[in-house]
Amino acid sequence: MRKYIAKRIGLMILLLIGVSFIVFASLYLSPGDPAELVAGASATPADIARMRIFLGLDKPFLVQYFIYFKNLLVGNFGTSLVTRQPILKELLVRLPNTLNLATSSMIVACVFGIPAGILAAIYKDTWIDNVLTTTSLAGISIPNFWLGAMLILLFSVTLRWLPTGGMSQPFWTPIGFKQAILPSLALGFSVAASFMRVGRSAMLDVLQSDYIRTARSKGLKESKVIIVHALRNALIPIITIFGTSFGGLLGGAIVTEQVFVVNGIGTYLISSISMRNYPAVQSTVLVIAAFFIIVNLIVDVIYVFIDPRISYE
Amino acid sequence: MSNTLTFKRENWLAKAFQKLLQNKLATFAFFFLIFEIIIIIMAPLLVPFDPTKTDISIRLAPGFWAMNSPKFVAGHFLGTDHLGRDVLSRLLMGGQISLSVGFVATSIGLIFGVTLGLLAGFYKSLDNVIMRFMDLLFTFPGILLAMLIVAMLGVSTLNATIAISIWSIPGFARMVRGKVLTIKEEDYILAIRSIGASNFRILFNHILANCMPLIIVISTMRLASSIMSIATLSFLGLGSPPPNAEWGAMIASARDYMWQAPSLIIIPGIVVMITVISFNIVGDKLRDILDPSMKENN
Repeated sequence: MRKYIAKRIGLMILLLIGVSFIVFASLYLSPGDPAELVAGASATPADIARMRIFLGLDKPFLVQYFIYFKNLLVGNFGTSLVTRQPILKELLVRLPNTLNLATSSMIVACVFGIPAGILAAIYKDTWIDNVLTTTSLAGISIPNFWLGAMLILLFSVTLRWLPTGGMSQPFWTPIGFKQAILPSLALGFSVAASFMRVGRSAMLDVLQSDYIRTARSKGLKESKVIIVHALRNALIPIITIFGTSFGGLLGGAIVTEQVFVVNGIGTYLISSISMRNYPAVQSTVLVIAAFFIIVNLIVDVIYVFIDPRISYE
Repeated sequence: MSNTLTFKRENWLAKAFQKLLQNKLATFAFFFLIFEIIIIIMAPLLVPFDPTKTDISIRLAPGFWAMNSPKFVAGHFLGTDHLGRDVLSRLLMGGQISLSVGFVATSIGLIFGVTLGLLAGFYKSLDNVIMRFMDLLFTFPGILLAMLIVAMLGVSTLNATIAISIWSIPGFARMVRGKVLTIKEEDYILAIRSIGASNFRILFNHILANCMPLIIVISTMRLASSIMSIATLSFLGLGSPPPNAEWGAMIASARDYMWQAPSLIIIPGIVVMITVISFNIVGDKLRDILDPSMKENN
């Protein structure tokens, strides 16, 4: 087991290096000279040449990457071209807002998705199953930004029950809770739908297995069979997709933040793209990808404890 | 009496289609998509107005649901937007962007993804290199990879298509590789090899043919998510630039008029949703028919 975990951590480090390389190299694909951008519109060719040396752009590609990587290791993510502030500082201010949104959405997804999947499996081929399966199909097909807009239209504009956005407070505070309801429903719905689909098929698999028949034949109550025996194994596939789903939430948060005007790293990313603030774009993408890699590592490690068979494969 | 054995080659595609038609919902979704695609291809002939022609005097006119309102303008069946452009015309012409980006991006993703998947599954020496690179592409969650590519290349419909194509590659590669690994071990591949077939022939004539059902299923699902992605990118201002009518862009510009004209935001969203849901329904059913072993994994 220890070997498995060590291997996972090694793989994570390789992935992080790979991601930093892709993010760094992407700047090279972009048309236009970064030195020209930094120097500003009124710069003379001599200014631009000086800026190129100042930024180290005259050095070979791999040397530049090495310097970039060394800076990343000491937490130097570069300077924003717009505000001239350290990018890491700007990201750290906004990161809690994004995590606030992603976490509350994950709670919505678990609270609605998992029970729905289990119910659909228990009542397979009844109207309950049909309603839940259709809802989940809608869930993965509705654009989350549009769902967000529809929720605002219904609950904020028409009924005036909930605020149109903000998420300035953590979701566990009274104000933050009210602010979080609509954004986390909009973002969490598609994940709830995929949890429901996975949970349903996992539960159906488990319910057909021999040990469940044994449990039933020894006269256990059906509720006990499901809650005590079946549920634990049915949750394993959901844990497997938990990591990818969290990544999906982080990616989706970029969009949902725009709808609900949340000052998170997604909003920072979009405004950086529109202002051609390339270093900020790179760092934001890097931070989101790194988060995703680390969450997946944690899920992988938890997974070994839940299902020890995996470490022998 | 002739003792030659004749093998009737089963046309699996026709059979799958027959089975698809046994399901009411899937049949409905399938024919809706055919209908939608035909209408959208013919859109330039059908649209009542120029989708980019503005006319401030008739801005935010309601559609058929408020025919008796004094603001209703005859001919504008679904009303007009904040610049007085006809919503129905924009929806139809916008469909050309959404659907063509969807089909082109899925096809490019398919060509590269399937080739990489075949090579990775078949040649052990290539497996690690290709799949680790695919893993790397998978570490950018959701549309983040597409956003990074658009950010670097600049905003245009073509760049958005490239971005979505690249993002589609790893999904195809991973699934096809998995399938190749199982097919490779089958006895009939050994039989073909023993009569002297070349690797190339085995890979492209036999293994690829057996991957086709899987490829059709993934393509249908990818079409759904590519259409969703171009709408999302356009919503963020990273897809099709204005004044192009694109479904996601229509939703984005309608947000400021949600109070006065909610239909402007409701209608394009419903169109995206119905299109995506139809592809998903057909994809789901095709998976059940063609590849029941394919588990729900996302």
